[in-house]
Amino acid sequence: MSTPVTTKASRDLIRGKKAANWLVRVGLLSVVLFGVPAGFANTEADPFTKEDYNWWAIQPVKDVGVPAVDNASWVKTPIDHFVIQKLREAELQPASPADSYELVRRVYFDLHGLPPSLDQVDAFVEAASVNFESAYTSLLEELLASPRYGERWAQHWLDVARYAETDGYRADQYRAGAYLYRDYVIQSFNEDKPYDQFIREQLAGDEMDADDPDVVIGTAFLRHGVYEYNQRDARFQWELILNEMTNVTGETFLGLGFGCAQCHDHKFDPILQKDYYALQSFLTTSYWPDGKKLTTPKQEEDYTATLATWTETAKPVLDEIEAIKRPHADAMGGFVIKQFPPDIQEMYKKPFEERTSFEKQMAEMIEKQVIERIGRLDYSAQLKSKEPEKLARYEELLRLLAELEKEKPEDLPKAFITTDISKEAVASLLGGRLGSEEVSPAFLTILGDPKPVIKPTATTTGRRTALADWIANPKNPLSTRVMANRLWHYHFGTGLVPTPNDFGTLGEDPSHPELLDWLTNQFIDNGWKMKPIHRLIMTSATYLQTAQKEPDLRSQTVDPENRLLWRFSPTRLSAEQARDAMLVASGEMTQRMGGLSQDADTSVRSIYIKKLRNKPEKFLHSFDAPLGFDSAPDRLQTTTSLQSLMLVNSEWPLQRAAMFAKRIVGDSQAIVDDQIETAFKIAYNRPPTSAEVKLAKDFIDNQQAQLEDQFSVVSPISEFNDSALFSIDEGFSAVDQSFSLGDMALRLEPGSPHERLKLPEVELTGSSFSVEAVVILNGLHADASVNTLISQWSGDPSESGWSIGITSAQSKYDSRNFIVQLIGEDGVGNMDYQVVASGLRVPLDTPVYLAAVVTANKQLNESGGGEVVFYMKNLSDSYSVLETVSVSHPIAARIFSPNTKMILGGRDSVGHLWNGQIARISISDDPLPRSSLFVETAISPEDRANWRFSGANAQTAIPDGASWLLPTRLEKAQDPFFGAVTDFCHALITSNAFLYLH
Amino acid sequence: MPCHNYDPNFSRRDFLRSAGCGFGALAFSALTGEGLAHAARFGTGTAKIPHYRARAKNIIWLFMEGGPSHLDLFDPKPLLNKLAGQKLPDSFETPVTAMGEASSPLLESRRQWAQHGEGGLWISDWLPNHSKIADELCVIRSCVSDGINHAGGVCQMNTGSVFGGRPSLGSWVDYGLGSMNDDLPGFVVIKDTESMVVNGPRSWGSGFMPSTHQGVLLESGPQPIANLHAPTGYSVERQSQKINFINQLNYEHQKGRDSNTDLDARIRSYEMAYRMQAEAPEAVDISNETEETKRLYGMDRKETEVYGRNCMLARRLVERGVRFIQLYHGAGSKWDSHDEIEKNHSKLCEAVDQPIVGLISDLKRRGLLEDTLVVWGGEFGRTPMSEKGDGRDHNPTGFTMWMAGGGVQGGTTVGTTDELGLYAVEDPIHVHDLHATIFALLGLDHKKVVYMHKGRPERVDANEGKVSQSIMGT
Repeated sequence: MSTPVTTKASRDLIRGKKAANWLVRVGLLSVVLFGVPAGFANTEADPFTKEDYNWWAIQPVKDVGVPAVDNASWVKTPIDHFVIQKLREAELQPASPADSYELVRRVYFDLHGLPPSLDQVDAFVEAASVNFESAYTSLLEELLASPRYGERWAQHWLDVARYAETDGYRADQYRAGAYLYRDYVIQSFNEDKPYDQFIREQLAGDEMDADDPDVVIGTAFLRHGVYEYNQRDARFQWELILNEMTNVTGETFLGLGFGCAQCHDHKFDPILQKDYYALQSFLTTSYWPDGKKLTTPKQEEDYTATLATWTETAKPVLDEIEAIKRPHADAMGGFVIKQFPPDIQEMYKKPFEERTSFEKQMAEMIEKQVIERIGRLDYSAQLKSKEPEKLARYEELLRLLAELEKEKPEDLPKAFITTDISKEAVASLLGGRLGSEEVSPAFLTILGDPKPVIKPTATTTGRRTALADWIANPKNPLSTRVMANRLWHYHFGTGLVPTPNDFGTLGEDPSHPELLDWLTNQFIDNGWKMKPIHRLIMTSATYLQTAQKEPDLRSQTVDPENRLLWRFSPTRLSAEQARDAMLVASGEMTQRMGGLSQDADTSVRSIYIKKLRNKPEKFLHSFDAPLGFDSAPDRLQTTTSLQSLMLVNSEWPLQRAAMFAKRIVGDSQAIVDDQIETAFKIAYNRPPTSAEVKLAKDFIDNQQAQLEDQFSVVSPISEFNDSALFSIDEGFSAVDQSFSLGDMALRLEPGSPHERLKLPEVELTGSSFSVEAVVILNGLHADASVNTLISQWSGDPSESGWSIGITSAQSKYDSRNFIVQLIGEDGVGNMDYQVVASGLRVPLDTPVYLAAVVTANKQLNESGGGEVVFYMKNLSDSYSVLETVSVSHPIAARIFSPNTKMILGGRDSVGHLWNGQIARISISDDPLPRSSLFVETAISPEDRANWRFSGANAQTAIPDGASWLLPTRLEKAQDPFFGAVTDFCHALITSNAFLYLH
Repeated sequence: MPCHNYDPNFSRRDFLRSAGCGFGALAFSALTGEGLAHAARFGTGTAKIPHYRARAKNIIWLFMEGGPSHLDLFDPKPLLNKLAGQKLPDSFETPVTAMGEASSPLLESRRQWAQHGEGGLWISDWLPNHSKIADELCVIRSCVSDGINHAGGVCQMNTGSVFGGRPSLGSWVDYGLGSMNDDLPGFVVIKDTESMVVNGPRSWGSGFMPSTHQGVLLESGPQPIANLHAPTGYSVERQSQKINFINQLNYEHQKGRDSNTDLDARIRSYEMAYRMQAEAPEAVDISNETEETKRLYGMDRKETEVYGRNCMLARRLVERGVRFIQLYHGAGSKWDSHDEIEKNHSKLCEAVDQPIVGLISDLKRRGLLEDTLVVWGGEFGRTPMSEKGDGRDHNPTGFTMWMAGGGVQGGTTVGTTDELGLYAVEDPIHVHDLHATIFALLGLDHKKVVYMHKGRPERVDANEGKVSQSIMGT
């Protein structure tokens, strides 16, 4: 739109007058009278109808005046004039203003995505009671100036930008540099970056200022689409990527679903198939560079210099390593290349300068896969099988390198950005692979804007800048309205146009078209800044209305959806709001400003939690956080049973509730009304009603009584007056007699006096040992704790030890995985902690035979390491076979720590307890071969402890020299009073008053 | 988006959302009642009336993940064995394959083939028991997909698209037909290994639809559904008192907010969560099944026990009104046979042969087969070209799936591949067509079940499918 005046004039000619509209229908005549509108050749008939030209969204934004209204007492800002006018026409009344409690909660969640603290609520309520206007204005200013604002509003943009941090295909690889875009968006909102600049940076930051990392990172916007690491059909994949880029650009910035026009002229909107490829042509030359760093040239220069110095020292080692690796890397590279279609391989083989831009793109697609594949090449394994004579030297070199690398300058951040592959444009072909018609850059035909003027830069086509300029033009009727509408949408839950990504004819018309235009003009006039619009909207009487107004017959009939805003629409907290609010209630939230994304079990805000497309965080996913596969203009609000199960039964909310309870009652054994009220105020941001307090008191009393009963009930397995013993027939009746079990099984139960059994000394020497057992596991920990069968370890990963157990529900190794944890020296003498996982899944409530034969042996392999051979057999099933798995590990020595207790059912530290029965366990100082295991032979080898259990009570049944350890801590949840308060707090954070803004 | 509130009326957009566009839409919308509060249920709540007379009410989808070889199971190619060791003749268009094996020598099929049943279906000796159900099978030899890799292939077979974001077929069925049991999910997924299905849970995700329509992973054991039970230490009484208290707070809050149906939906969803703790374990408790039935499914042999159990669970779920059940076999791409296909397929075929035959037979003798459509297949087939000497690469351009029950004509074959089984040549059936056809068998018009998403009337077939008349037998 470099000549907007002419454009506007010609458009007005085309659609402004009825007569002209009629003439336009007669294609040829229109050409004669008005000249050819840009975009379609003069031999073609006008593809559009009168209705198309009248489409509201493409009309210029009108300079509308504020309507005069007579309800001066209600209106506060011009927005209210538009709103009250429509309400009057519909014979509807606005709602009364929200009270201070409702308002302060709404405003904090709206601007920060967080609830207000106790003090913040009180401060505002008090100040507002004195002077509402000034209290409210200063609250808004305070919130807008806080960095928490950017974290909330960036989330909206990240939804639209389909932001995620993994590839989204089978491997779902993590995108190391992606989080920098998230921080860039947060920063952009916090500094109130003008939106036109924000558009330009995201579409063409590399062309604007390639040297400024804070600008270039914007182009990550074009790179958030999915990518398949092993897709050999390079053309197909690139086409998918381009289409994705085109669609997301159209939806995000123009509010148009272009997707349909990929294959045919849009059936509902006046978008031609040609328009799709014209829009795509701005993007066809782009590519996703991998080697670049996100730095200023100065930083890069400094880094290069420091690196050069280091490289000089390291050169002999580096060169020698390279010489060893090179043939293997080349072989693997060649293997990958050969899997591509022959013509793509040809492109790759051409010298760089001879490749066309498209060929460069295709070569790049190969190169990415080559680098990825070589990147995970296991050179040691390659050498072992192909050049074993080089292995020792290679591993020695790695050790030398590891030493050297301590001095190596820290790597610069990877640039997760987009730029062009060259300045020569790649043609945009209509119809894709089969098509042959080349479409050059142009804007929507129906807008009639002149063709873009494109100026290539030194390295790029300059096309994306031309696109960005057109979108960021204040006269663009779509991009400007779309953003003004998004701002309204996020404040009110519904946009003036309720379909923010779709201003097409299947989307809905604006409820207040004049208001939308007025707001759009305000947005442009305020320099495309967001914060002035927040102020405008949030100070309006419209925004200040209460949500607590029930519909009457009139509103139910004429405006059931509240489009005209006769009250504030109730909403549920979004995924991030709900999760963050729980962390605030529990007092655990830690604030930070940007940085690497974190695992979900950390206390950072949800926007900083890793966003994995194929393994979404469970809480956020359950509350409808988008997966990041396409632009998400709004959030669904589902209520499902699975969500409720997650809220009441999963560990995460329960833990928050326990911390919340601790915050309220500390270590005391009584709760007073004040504390109950505080809990309500923390959760609901308002004082409770007397009814609520009464309910809470009754509940806590009853629950405490109920828990006291429950915890005092003697466990039903105490027939022998001893809960630590279990008749062997109770659980092990199906076990074959050849296992020669005793009369009893030991029952180990967390939280009971029979949690852990310290075993008599069994001297383990050398570097190998074997453990065999017949056991039943009754339950898993709900978190990632290990169900430890036996260990000789303090639990400290820097201290020697070993532990054999089964993983729990939240384990990284998946649940019920039979594992050995080894802590010892690796081949070069460094302490290392390893989890050796068998992959064998131990069934619950079932008698099983388990064995682990552990070797950690320097002689076995000069570089160190050994293996664990696991065995498992389901003893309840006579058909089951002995399953076995060998897993190698790098631990070579010092796994035994003579001063550490050997413990059955846990570690020499807190937690990680076994919950179940043990019928037999034996320990050998040797790495037993299969034939010597008691599962295979009745003949016991010498030198080993071998325990079965028989006796009258927990003391007589255990081996001589063994003793029960005191429970390491009383489970807080097992304390009836604390349990009851925890349940109260849990109810608060899962109840509707917490989850809804209503 | 605001809460749904109380609105029993349709806005124009809701109308489009539930009904889509076109004339037929009116009927669908009017019949479904979509738009009424339904949030507390697993599925869409009320069962809906389909467009046509439905031949099937339920689907059991036996998903052989990784890609079974049609050339060694259902689609014999004598020419392949004749040309074994040679390159693909020039008369064949060169395919793009996952591992670039287009020019590798052709690999013979070592199978013994025979025709079975009155229909004379060709089935190889890898599935010896299938001869008993040959006359139930409609073998579709001309399936076509776009995904040359597992991720894209599995994604498309489930959702119609090679990349994520769209609802899976089960979600569409749940959306289109609703649930027949309020206490169980309408769409259930069971897998045979501890490994995850390619792409993770989004394989049964609801994509752009509300998550009420998503598939639910069912596992064996006391906790078949995630978070079904409270953690250890939470007794039934404790849990029930707590849930009561949550809802007491919710009732208190609801006063003066009756119009907000979301609040009520959540109250009901807590109640249901509590009820489900009893319902779901019952559905997977097979202790009352007879030994004879267990044997029928192959549960008496270790090789067939796991899939046999899953097949039996599928029947139990059908009996309890679950619409769509997907049973993964070889979860985690175990059917993938880039090398040693003999070893790999021998084992996997044995693991599924009796269980599948058991399932079909059991459904039939209980009178359930006529209402239940059973679908078998992977995300693609395998190439006639060899890989690593004794394996086959992925082949999405022509492969076999079969259907049984649900009103399809058994003992028939639909479509053909070329003489080497590389490309579908006659009556090609794309994944989109397959989805459209399954809809038709359920009595749904794939053009009329529409979900409005970002201005586009989305359909199960991405607007590209057509109902296969050959499968419909019309």
